[in-house]
Amino acid sequence: MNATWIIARKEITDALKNKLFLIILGMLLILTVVSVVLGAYQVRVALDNYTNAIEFLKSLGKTELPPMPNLNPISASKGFVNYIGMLGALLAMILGNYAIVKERRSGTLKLILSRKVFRDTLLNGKLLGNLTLFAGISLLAAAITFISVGAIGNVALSAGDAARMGLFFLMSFLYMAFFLVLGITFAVMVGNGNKALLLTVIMWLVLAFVFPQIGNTMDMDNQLPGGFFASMGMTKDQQTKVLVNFKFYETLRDSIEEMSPTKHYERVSFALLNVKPGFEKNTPMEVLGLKWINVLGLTAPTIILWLIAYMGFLRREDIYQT
Amino acid sequence: MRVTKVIGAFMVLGLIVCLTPFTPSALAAGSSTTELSANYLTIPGGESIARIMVENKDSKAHHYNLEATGLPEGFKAYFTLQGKGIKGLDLSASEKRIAELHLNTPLKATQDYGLIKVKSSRDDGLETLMSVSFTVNHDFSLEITNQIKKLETLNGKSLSFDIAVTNTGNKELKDLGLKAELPYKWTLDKLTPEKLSLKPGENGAFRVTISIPPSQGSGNSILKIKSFNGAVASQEISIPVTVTATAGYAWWVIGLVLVVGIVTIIYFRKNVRR
Repeated sequence: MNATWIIARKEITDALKNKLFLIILGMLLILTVVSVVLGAYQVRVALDNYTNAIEFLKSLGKTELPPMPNLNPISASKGFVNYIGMLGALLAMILGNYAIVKERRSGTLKLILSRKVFRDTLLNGKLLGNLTLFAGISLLAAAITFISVGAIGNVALSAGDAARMGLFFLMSFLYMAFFLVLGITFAVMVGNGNKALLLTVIMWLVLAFVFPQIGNTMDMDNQLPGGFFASMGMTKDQQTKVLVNFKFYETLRDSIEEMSPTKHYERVSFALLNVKPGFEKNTPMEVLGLKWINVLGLTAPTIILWLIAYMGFLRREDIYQT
Repeated sequence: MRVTKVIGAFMVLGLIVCLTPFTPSALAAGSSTTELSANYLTIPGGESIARIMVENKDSKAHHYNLEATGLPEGFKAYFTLQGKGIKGLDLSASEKRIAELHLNTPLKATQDYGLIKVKSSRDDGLETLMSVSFTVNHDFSLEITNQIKKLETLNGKSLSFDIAVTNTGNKELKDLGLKAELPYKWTLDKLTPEKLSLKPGENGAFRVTISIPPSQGSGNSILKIKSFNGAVASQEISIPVTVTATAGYAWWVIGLVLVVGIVTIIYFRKNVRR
């Protein structure tokens, strides 16, 4: 454990000296601040409008006042989902790749493994260090959001909203963890560091953009602009009859979508943040209960990739090559 | 004497024409102060539509806000223009347009007769009022009597439930059907019976079977259901449905994790940890 933690600390120190990592982290944090501040400002505008309307109605002597609209302050983080989907994943892949490739290029891998350090311990240390970094990034983003919503949005988050927000940042952490492990696995399995990074990025493009896009474009109703059914002038009954005949097609489309961790991350995040309607009355744990498949879709591929990385690293003899 | 009868007949005819619901009532929101009143028949849980003519008698264009006041408890009203909901309308000089006042009657109306006022407020402050009276006809009344609080199902599966309807009117209701407004891609598989006839006070039940597509993500959806025939429609009920994802995908994923895990253990034992 001691060796693992020493390697982990070294990873954190190295990452903080990595200019590419710092640039992307800076971009991510700037985008997070801008998006959260704008989201919180929108909440404040909605709240002010409501307060003004109530005061006006009261000045007219009205006693029947409209109820407060659902401001949904936690939706201020919805922009963060997209930024994590792109920049967060990119950051994780670069760190994952860099974790292995830097040791190989500098020749320190040979040095470390000549000591009493098992190969799996080395991998564990690298994973632990990078996960600690991502946990810190998630906590920082969460802190920015909590402060912005309170200070700018002028809204105190309820315990339920705070729990939803906390779970959302946990999901963001799990999403970045997947791409970190993807980066490490490719770096271990592919001898050439540049090729490994290229393959990781290609994999990311497929998982984050191609698969969800296939899911969308294969949707029956998206085949024509303005909607297939509307363009054909079909009634609801006729649509129903058509859809009954496309059950296999729908299952195939859905299966492709299920292979994308990005889709799982979006689904669980939008449910937690109340961006997708229908989850407003659920407790945070109920939302997780309903979306457990998506949580599984985020974590299981990470575990599988990590085990593959273990096996790959254990028997590789060319890892000493620079 | 004969002349008086002819004049009287014309007056009666004129009055009938004025009072028929198909005649637009004039809300001359300009210089005129003419008020016409019309009586509309409505049924419990039903909707009655009154056509309201708004006329700009001014030489300038104006915006008119429309408001229905004096609604009895439970009644709801809104305006439409060519099928679209409006709260007001713009009229150019000397233009007149017909808006529709939709009056929704509750199932248990507190009064059978009533008078509501339609107020047109012009942008320069000129206001015009028109009275619209209504009568609730209890001959035809239909009610959905079972309240389903919540349904739970799995995606890719079928879901069956019963909808009980009661004829709460004074006349027999024939050929009652059921209309279900379903979320996108959900299908109504079966409705048993397809049509139902109910005598006054009689109950009946529809068995509804719907299919949830495998692509439906887990979450909460709403089904909207109402019963109807050519004469009457029940209130629309909303049934919350919670869809949970089937474990099929999960078993595959968990199985894969276990297989890779076992292979890793065997691999480490065979090749020795180093």
